[in-house]
Amino acid sequence: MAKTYKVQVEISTDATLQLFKLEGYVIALTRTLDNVYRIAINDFPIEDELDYYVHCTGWNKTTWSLKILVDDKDVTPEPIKGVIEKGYSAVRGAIKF
Amino acid sequence: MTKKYYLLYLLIFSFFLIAHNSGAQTFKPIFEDGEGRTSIIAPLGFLGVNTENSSIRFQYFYAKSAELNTKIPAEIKRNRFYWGVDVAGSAAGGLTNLFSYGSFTPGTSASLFLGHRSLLFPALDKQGAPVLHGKNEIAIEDWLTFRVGGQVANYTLYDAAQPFANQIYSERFRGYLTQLAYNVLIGGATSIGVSWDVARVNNLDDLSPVTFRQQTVIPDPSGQTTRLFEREVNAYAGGYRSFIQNTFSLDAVQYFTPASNINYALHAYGRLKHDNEQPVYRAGVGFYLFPQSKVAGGVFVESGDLTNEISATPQFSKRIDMGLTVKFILPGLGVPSP
Repeated sequence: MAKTYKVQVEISTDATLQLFKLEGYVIALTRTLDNVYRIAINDFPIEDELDYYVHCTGWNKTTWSLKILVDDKDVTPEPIKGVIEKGYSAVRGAIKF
Repeated sequence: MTKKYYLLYLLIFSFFLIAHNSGAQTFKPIFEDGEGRTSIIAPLGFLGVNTENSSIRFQYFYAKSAELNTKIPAEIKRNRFYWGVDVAGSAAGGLTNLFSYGSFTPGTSASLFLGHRSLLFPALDKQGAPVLHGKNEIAIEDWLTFRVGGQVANYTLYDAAQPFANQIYSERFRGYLTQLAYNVLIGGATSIGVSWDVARVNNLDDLSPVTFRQQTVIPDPSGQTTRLFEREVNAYAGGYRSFIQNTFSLDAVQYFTPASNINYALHAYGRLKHDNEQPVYRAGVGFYLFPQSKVAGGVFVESGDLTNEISATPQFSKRIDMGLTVKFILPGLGVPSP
């Protein structure tokens, strides 16, 4: 059984966030006033690595940056960044912590 | 408008270019005409300034990314609905009035947006995979937006045809706007928008600003002296009227992202306005630069009466206006992290 953590996610972008996945789960993020999509989840199960998937659409060269906190510790001291080309950006990756 | 205002615009624009010539460069959809109208409605938060109609605008759009579909676990719920608010304060009469006469007439407008994105071109399939088009595998997304808004403004008017006591009077304007807009973004670089709106508007922009010195004479009961009180009154002269107007809009934007550090965009637009009288065509082109992530700006040149239907000036070059748009994308507003 995977251990559970408190997880906070922020994706800053002027693009449209279409889909965000964490550990394979689809998670809905809501845009706040400053164009940052946010969510906080308690008791989120994580195996050894934190798998993420970000899919944004919008104007080219628009950037997005992903920041994740696990149990209030920033596991992305260098935010994960992506940039839109051909109208979209779909990136999968894993964070070790 | 005279050349000195054009120079002022260029000066302000140059300042922003110099002040913000570094940092990340991202695209901000800011394309609108001199009246602040556009059919490319971008679901984005921003705080902006448009000098052509002297407006300051705040806009916020709610959006949510896809979530699990609890009813059909194999599919996702794409959350394509969105809503937004837009609040603008403007000085009716434009900058000419603001600078030449030292006072301006405030007006306030507010709009509510309801919309649906990915209507004809889904960005995601039902399993969550990106939907791409053509040999080049580009993404296409679209937005359908319905907007309702209202406007409140108070004007001081001058009508020489009235009896002397009624020549200067206040007019309270109550306007409204409903707009249906559809726009599509192809491959992150080309956008086309069409819209139809019905609005209650007025002809204030066609009236001439005038300044009066109003004197009140109070004679001394003895008849030896008189006392003069003077007050300056700024008003608009001419036949004021309000009317219902239908506007059909077409906007096209091409965004260029060269390998160098400067991204730019060209915007061409046309408007067809129908009220009780003859149709009026309005058209213009805009050029925008995106020098820094939080500021974007551009200049646009437009003719408010392309085919000379209503203007008093037959010379085309005199029916052309130039404007500047600068938008500051909202910084963190102190919204706490969850």
